[in-house]
Amino acid sequence: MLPVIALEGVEKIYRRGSEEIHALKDVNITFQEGEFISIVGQSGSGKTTLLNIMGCLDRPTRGTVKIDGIEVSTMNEKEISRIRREKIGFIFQQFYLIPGLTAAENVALPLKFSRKPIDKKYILSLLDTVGLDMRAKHTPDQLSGGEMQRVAIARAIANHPHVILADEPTGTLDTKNSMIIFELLKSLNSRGLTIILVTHNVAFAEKTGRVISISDGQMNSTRLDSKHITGSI
Amino acid sequence: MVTPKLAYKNFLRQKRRNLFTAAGIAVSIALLFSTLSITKGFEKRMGTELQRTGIDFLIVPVSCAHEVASLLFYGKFTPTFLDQAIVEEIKRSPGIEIASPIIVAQMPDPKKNRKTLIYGYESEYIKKIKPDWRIKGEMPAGWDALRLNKILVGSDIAKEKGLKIGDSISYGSWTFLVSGILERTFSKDDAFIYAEIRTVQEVAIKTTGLRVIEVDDPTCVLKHRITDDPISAVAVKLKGAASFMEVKSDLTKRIPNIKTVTVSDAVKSVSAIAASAKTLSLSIVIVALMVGAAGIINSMLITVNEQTQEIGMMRAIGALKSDIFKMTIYESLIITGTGAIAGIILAIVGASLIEEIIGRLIPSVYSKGLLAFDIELAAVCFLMSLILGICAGLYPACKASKVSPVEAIKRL
Ligand SMILES: Nc1ncnc2c1ncn2[C@@H]1O[C@H](COP(=O)(O)OP(=O)(O)O)[C@@H](O)[C@H]1O
Ligand SMILES: [Mg+2]
Repeated sequence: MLPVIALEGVEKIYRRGSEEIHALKDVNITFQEGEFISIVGQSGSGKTTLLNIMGCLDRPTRGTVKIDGIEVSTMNEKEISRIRREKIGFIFQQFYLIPGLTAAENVALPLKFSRKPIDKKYILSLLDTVGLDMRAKHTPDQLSGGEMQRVAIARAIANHPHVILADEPTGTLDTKNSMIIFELLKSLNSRGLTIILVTHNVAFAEKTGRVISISDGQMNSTRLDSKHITGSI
Repeated sequence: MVTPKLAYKNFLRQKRRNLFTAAGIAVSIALLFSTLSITKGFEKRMGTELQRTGIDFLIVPVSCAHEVASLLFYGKFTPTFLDQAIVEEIKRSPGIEIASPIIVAQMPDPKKNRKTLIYGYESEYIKKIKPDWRIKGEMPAGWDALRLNKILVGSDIAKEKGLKIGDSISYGSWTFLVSGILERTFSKDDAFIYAEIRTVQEVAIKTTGLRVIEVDDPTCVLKHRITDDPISAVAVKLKGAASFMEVKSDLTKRIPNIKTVTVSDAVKSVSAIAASAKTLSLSIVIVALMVGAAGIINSMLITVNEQTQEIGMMRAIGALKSDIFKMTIYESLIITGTGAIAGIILAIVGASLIEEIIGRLIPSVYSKGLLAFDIELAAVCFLMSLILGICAGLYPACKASKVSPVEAIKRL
């Protein structure tokens, strides 16, 4: 089976004036469908850079990126937007819900950007998945941080992505809410979604199928629990 | 349609800032609307008003003939007079059907701190000179009118002073008897008083040191003498077949120091005043609109800057550059559209105030009721605001659409 994401010889160099920062050095990695992978590493080690490249938010300086076997490095802006829209769901540390919109409207946003019809029942079922179907009409200012992140998760899965990329999604949450979010990601994974989680929380990382640790732009992969690798659909 | 709603929500988020920006647009659109309304109303009125006159041309003193004529048509006291004796001279010219003297004098109105114009006509010709007039009561005529100082008052004056037929009214030491009220003409005529020519001549003689151009010596620059029968102009109507050019050359040959001014000449000189007023006010409007546009650009750039990460998020979850671009333009359109609607309402509500100001600035051009709501002009102003919205939104929209999706993942 084709890997969901495959990186080959990926390098990322940031240029700040005359200074060059090697944020990623020769990264080779593949993610299979249904995997739950955590990426750990110190601050500034290149985790976010890696996630940006895997999520087609940014282009590598060198190397190739394949999503579902499709080479994206050579695509134009519009095609890349489409890949992002159709294959990838993002969860951000800062949630980024649109303040004026209700929870349901926020969840529907990716569908709108995809010019897809909005089925109210479907949106409610997404909110139900994250346990917030009763809060559909609430605006972000009426929700707690944990609830906002759950709405953001519902938004991330709205477009039936193949893979969820989450960059420290529990970074601003307390222990209890962090647990809820992690359990939610696990349950999504158990439904077959590939999940790539950047986290500082070692306890969470240990519970994922594979931990990739990055230091100084270089990575090494460890398999922790084989039952998550093959994807139990 | 994703983006209009998002843009609207975004507009509400920065409510205060956006409303201030919209207020700037409102002021300039109000100015634009007023300028266009007044010009349009004026042009329309001038067309019909001049067609309504029953005369072909005026004979006026040679000095500043065009100004004198336009002022006569549009209402102003002229300081230079002719002697009524020339009317008989004029009538001798073949081709002339009517030659009737007109005089304008001004009556001080101490209560209002302004001057009211009083026009004197020969009552027997009033129907010819003002064919559209409908009079309640009667046009002052005959010896009785002179003895009792009978007057006809314009509808604005009648309304302002609560005058009825039979009332008397005083201006300084003068007391007049209202014998007729002119029904609303929707023109400058509504703001004046009319009387038999003799009555007004008496007023003019007593209120001014009358100078009449000396007609005996055409080579002399301007000589003056005193007359008992001053007139401001002679209204002339030609016989059907008569040629204006022939009559004109005959008159100017025989009677020195006069000038003929046709209705279309008067239109031209009044139009010239109106056009320059329009140009002036439109340039003010353009400056105001540019200032407004700068306000929008500024405000929108702040918004884009503040929302960089959010825009990045939308790009990350699938928004196209064009979605972000459109959204920013829509937001700009909401600002200018709101401003335009507020501005048009402002212009209509503030119309009376604006009328007052313009009336003082250019009294010869302006008359009341020009600033009426005109749906066509409102549409023009609204359209203008949308064009402005698009233009002002372009740069912020470009900036917004260039925001990289990476911004969403960057840490604060
Ligand atoms: N846009 C950028 N321009 C320049 N340097 C950057 C940029 N983004 C990240 N970096 C640098 O690249 C390195 C990796 O950053 P990042 O991927 O954000 O690390 P992490 O997410 O693990 O904290 C850091 O040294 C960081 O300063
Ligand atoms: Mg990071």
